[in-house]
This record gives sequence, C-alpha cells and structure tokens, in this order.
Amino acid sequence: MHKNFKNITAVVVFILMGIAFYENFQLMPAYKGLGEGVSDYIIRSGLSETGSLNLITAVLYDYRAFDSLGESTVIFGAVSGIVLILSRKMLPVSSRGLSFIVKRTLGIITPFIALFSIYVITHGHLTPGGGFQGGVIFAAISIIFSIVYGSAFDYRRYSPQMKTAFETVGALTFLGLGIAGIFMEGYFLHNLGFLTAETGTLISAGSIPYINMGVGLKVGAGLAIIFYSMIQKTFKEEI
Amino acid sequence: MDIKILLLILVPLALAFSIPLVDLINAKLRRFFVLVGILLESYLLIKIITENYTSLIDGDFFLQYHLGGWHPPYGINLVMDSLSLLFVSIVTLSLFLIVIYSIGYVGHHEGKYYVLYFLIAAAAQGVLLTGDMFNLYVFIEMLTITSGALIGFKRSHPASEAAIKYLIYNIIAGLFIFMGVLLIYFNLGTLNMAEISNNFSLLEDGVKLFISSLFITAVLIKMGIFPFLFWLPKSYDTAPSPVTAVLSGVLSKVYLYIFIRLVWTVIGIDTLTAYKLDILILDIALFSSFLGHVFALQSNNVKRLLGYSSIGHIGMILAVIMLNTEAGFYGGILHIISHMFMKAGLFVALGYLLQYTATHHYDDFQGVGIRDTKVFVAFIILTLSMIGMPPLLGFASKWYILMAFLEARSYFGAFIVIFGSLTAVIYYLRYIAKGLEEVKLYKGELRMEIFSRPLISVLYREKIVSFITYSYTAIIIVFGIAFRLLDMPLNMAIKSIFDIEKYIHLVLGG
Amino acid sequence: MQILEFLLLIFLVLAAVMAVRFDEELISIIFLSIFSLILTSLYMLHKAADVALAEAVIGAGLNTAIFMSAISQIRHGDSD
Repeated sequence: MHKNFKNITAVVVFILMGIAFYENFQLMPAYKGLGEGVSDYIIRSGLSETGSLNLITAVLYDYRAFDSLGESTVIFGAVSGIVLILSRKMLPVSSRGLSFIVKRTLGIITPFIALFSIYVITHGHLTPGGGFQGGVIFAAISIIFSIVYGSAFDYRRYSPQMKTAFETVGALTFLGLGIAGIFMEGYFLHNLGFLTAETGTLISAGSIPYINMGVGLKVGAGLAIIFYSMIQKTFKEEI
Repeated sequence: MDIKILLLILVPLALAFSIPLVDLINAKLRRFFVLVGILLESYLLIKIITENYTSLIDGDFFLQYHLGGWHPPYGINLVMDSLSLLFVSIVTLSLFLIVIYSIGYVGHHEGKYYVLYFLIAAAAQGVLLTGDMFNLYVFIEMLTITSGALIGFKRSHPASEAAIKYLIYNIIAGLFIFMGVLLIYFNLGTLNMAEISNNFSLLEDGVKLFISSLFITAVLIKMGIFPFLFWLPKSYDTAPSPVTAVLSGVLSKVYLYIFIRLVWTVIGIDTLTAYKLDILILDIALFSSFLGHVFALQSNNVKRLLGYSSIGHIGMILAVIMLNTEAGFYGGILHIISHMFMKAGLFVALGYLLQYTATHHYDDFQGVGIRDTKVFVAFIILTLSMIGMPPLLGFASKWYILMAFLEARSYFGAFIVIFGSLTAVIYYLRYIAKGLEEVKLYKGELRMEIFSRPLISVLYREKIVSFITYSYTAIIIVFGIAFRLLDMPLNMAIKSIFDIEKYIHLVLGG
Repeated sequence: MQILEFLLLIFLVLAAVMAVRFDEELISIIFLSIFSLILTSLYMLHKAADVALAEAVIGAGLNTAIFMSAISQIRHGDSD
C-alpha cells in the first residue's frame, strides 16, 4: 500500500510536469524572439568578430568565455570534492590486467586515440569539438589503461601528483589568457588580437585554440583523477 | 567600468586554482597564500567603498564591467549597485572571519578544504555581482557542488549521507533554475537581466506563471522553506563547524539575495501579485517559520536545533520581505545582517565548545560551560541576541520586523515573531542550564570527535578560535548599540531594490 | 527522415524505461549507454555536431566507465 502510494504520487507529479512543459512549449512563439535576438547577431557577425569558423566555440570561448571559466571551475570543484571524500592513503597494486591479446591491441590503438583527442582539442575553432570533448577523450586513455593494464601501470605512468599538476596548469592557462586580455586589449578574456591570422588556418581565432588547450588539460586530468580515486580501493582487494 | 569588481571574483578563483600547485611545492606556504588572498579581497572592497564614497552618499552608486568587451545583450556583464554592495560587504566580512577561524580549526586535508572554501567565496561573489541569467546559474551550480563536498568533509557514514541528500535536493533546484533560464532564452532571445526585466511583461500569461514558479520553487528549495526543509538540519549537523558557519552565514543569505534579485528586478513583483503568488509565498514562509521553531523545541541535538532555528528565521525574513513595503525590507535586510553574524557566531562558538564531546547530543552538553567559561559567556550573549534581548543586534532587527508586520496589518506574522522569541527562550535556556551543570569527569569520558578533531590543544590554534568567537560577539554588541550606523546602507539598498527603471537604464545605456 | 526520427524517439523512451525498470545495475548501465547513443544520433539528425560529440564522449563513454567502477565498489560489499 505504502509503496503503491509512493509510485502513484511520483507518476502523477511526473505527468503534471509533462503537461506543464508541453503547454509551455506550445505557447512559445516559434523562435520569434530569437530572430531579432542574440543568436541572429552572432550568426551574422560571429566569424568576422572572432575569426572562429565553429560558431559554438566562438560563443563558448569568446562571447561567453566567463561562463566556460565557471563551468570548468565546477569540474575543478567536483574533482577536489571527490578526491577529498574518497581519497585513501594506499597504493593501487593490481598489475594483472586483461589478456595478452587485449594488451597488444590496445598498445597499437592508443596512439591513435591520443592523436584524435589532440585533433579534437586543437581544431576546436574549425570543426566540431573543443576543449571539453577532447579532454574527455584524453581521460578515456587513462581509464582504458587502468582497466586493461591494471591500475598500477597507470599509477606508474601518470602519478596523481602529475595529474594534479596538469589540471592546475590547465586552469591557470585559462585564467592567464584572460588576464593577458586585460593588459593587451583592456578587457578580461578579450580575444588576443596579435594571435589572429587568416581565417580557417590552424593558428587563427586569437586566443581561442589556447584556451581550448587549457580546458582540455584541465578536464582530461580532472576526470582521470575522478576515475582513479574511485577505483583505488577495488583493485587493492584483488591481490 | 571598474576592474575592481571583477577582481573581487578573480582573486579567490585564482587562489583556489593555485593552492594545489603550492601544495606540490611546499605545503607550509599555503596558509600564507590564504591570508594574502583574503586580505587582498578585503582591501579591494575597502578601496571600492572609499573611492565611490561621494556617489554612495548621493545615492547614484553604480559600477559595471563588460567581460571580454562585449556589450550587454551579446556578452556577460557584472553589475554592482547599492544592494549588491551591501551584500558583498557582509559576505566578505563573514568569509574573512571564518577563514581565520578555519586556520585554527581544520586539522586534516587542509589543502582541499581551502580550495573548496575559496571556490565558495568566488561563487558567492559571482552570484552577487553578475548581471546575466546563465552566469547566475553557473555560479549557483558552483556553490552547490563545492558546499556539498564540504558537507561530506568528515568522511563518516552520516556525513556522506547528509552530503548526498544535500546534493540531490540542491541539484534538482539547480535544474529548475536551468529550465527557467532556458524558457526565458527561448521566449525573449536574451539572457541579460536588465533586458529580460524590460520585456518580461510582454510574455503570455501561462509562460510568465510557469517561469516565475520554476524560479521561486528552486530558490525555496535552496533556502529550506517548508515543503523542502528536510535536507537542512542533517547537513548542518554533520558538517564541521566552520562549514556550517559558511552554510548558514553565507549561503542562505546569498540565496535570499538571489530571491530578491529574481523577484524584484527580473520577474517583477507585479507579475507575482497578478497571480496572488506573493500571498501564497508569504503564508508558506510564515508556516515554515512556525514549523522550524516547533521542530527546534523537540530537538535533542544542539547543531540540529540551530538548523531548525535557521529555518524559522529565514522563513521570517522571507515573509517580511514579501510584504513588499519599505519597512518590511528595512527589517528584513537588517535581520539578514544580524542573523548572519549571530548564527555563524553560534556555530563558531559550538565548534570550540564541543571539541571534547563525542556527539552533539543534549546529554553530552553537560558541563561544557564550566570547562571554557569565557567562550560560554560569548555563547550565552549570542543566544540572547537570537532571542532578541534589548541592547543586542537581534533585538533591533526583530523590532523592525515586528513593526513592519504590524504596519501591514499581518497579525499572523507579528504572532510568529513573538512566538519565535518565546520558543527560543525555552530551547536555548535548556542548553545553557545543561552546560552549566557540574559534571565529574573521568578520563575515559573525554572522548573526542574522531575525524574533525581539531588540534586545538596547540596553544595558538585555541587562541585563534576563541578570538574569532569573541569578535562575533563584539560585532553583535557594537552594532546592537549603534544599529543606526546601518541606516544609510540599508536605505540605499532599499532604494535600489525599488528603482528598477534606473537599473535597466544604467545597464543598457551606461 | 521523419520516420527515422520517430523510430529513434520510440527507442529512446524504451531505453529510458528499461534502464529504470531493471533491478540488475549492470543492465541498467548498459541501457543508459544505449540511451546516450540514440540521443547522439538524434542530435546528429538535427545537425548539432558539437553537442553530439559531447554526448557520445561523456554519456556513452565516460559515464559508463564511472558507473561501472562505482558498481564494482558496491559489489565488494564494504561500506564506509
């Protein structure tokens, strides 16, 4: 009875929320406001103002770069919190890993994964992708290493101190580029003019590629740290 | 265009980013960096106030910063008017006191603690200063994640449980705010607060109602008002004392600021009165205040009791603000200030008093007052201020709230104010009496808190911790006698709440 | 194109319901990963390549790994 009551309440609340959302999306003027709003302006003059072919990157790291700084700070805070709550002072000692075939295959594939992640990060202003996505692919390498080769291998190759250093350097890169904007252009996070080149080339769009690299480092190292502090204990028990 | 208001956010942010690096180099440098950071922050604030003193007196104080050089509809802008200046000042003062207290109190994992603490500081300043809806959401999310991590700081079973509960409630609230921002962007095509408030009345009725109710529900969850109050006492109980002081002294006041900003500046109070939502919120807030005091009466855990009493006080502040009169705002904001220092001071004092007891239970409170008499006197003064004794700050704020309720002929509200004071007498006196009870101590009974055990036995730490408790008490006494000093900033803040046209004009045209 | 989108939406709802209904955590996680994959293709249909990349990488890749590690912690059966 009690469980049924709970379920029914949940379903009723869910349906009511659904109806409310449906009604509101019905009432919405079909993108009427957007036509004369911000997005139209960005589509019209985003390329000429920022030099980035990928307008989403232009919005993320130029028009609303402060939001991206905040978002990556959220990840930074989450990493600190998880390390604080989950960290235990013990070394991971699983070095068994999976079978020989898997290890060899992964050994061949890994450079390509790394190359892809570097491509996604550095071409953020030209093609889909950017710091966040590339950083996550980067973290995936570390995760695959600890699954396939055992976490001891991952620990020896990339120690937690090194990951922390990477994360901090990434965060400080973002902040440093923003402060460079104050001194060279007069505004925090203003696009650095002297770095711009012909649109469409790899080194163009001012400071956007460099911010991408900073975010990539920060996100990649941060997520690797999260995964690492979560598996730490599991593998200890396997000895 | 003033870069100092940007630096108010950037200084704690840069400090939080660089603390892990400092840790890798030499962990002893950390405290030095922390002190330099918080002093720099205070210096910036003092500089802002002294440089703009004449415009403050004239009442046309307004600072703005365009990030990345993009002007309002296209980029993000930071705005500081009198209301945010008042909140920034009191938040910075609290953060300053609590960080010095933490230097004396926190014994383990100091590096991560300061990272999270300064992220909270940066996010709180960001919420108070931003003029952009999505930016507001980002900073609220930052506040939630970092404070959730700090609630689990003790790493015990109940602490993790409380942290998870806190995170679930608050992330759902964050989701509501995100939905509201999304709907606003789809309907109006802009995220700037001034532009939204300019155009919000053009929306259709259903959309207006839905967006306002989303925002209001979210902020009510975050403040712990009646239907959503169950996460609050638990997290206040299990978090270490400085974190609880931050939670009640900074975060809940920041959420009150968000409420004022959203309702008066962005949505507009007229929208709420059109749907009779303001009366609904007033009644919910009063009922929540009533419940908070009743729960506090039956609580046997002193930190939980303070959590319930926080619910009571915040409900009262929300109700008096919802009256939408100048007297109501005067009392409300004065009580925000006084509650901020009283409650944080109480938690700070408890962190000192409860260092040798195993739990926060009523029975363990026995004999606490005899062991540390001086701090216990400070504790008693702070509780008297919570009750509302005449020469203290709590009396002044409660008096103005009572007057505002009577002026608006809301007799139920006036009853709640009196009722809160009366119940507070009962539940605080009980603890004071227990604390003064003589107890014979055996060696085995001196149990310590396992994780948050502060190294207070070191002499300088003990000095720091008790000094901060005395400074909170001093603030309460000094401002209680001279609460007229707060007259000017309060009146300025109230003026800027009601003068929305000026805000819109200055943001979009200045 | 319309039919494809409709089919994908149906599968999306099915995957979500499956992920909630199964008691076995492992199967729930696999269904969540499938959910992310369908969502990715939906984003691609609507020409939102950036979001699709993010969803594929985070939703289908990283989340699965993190959930798996969390579950292996629970399975080992000590709680602190």
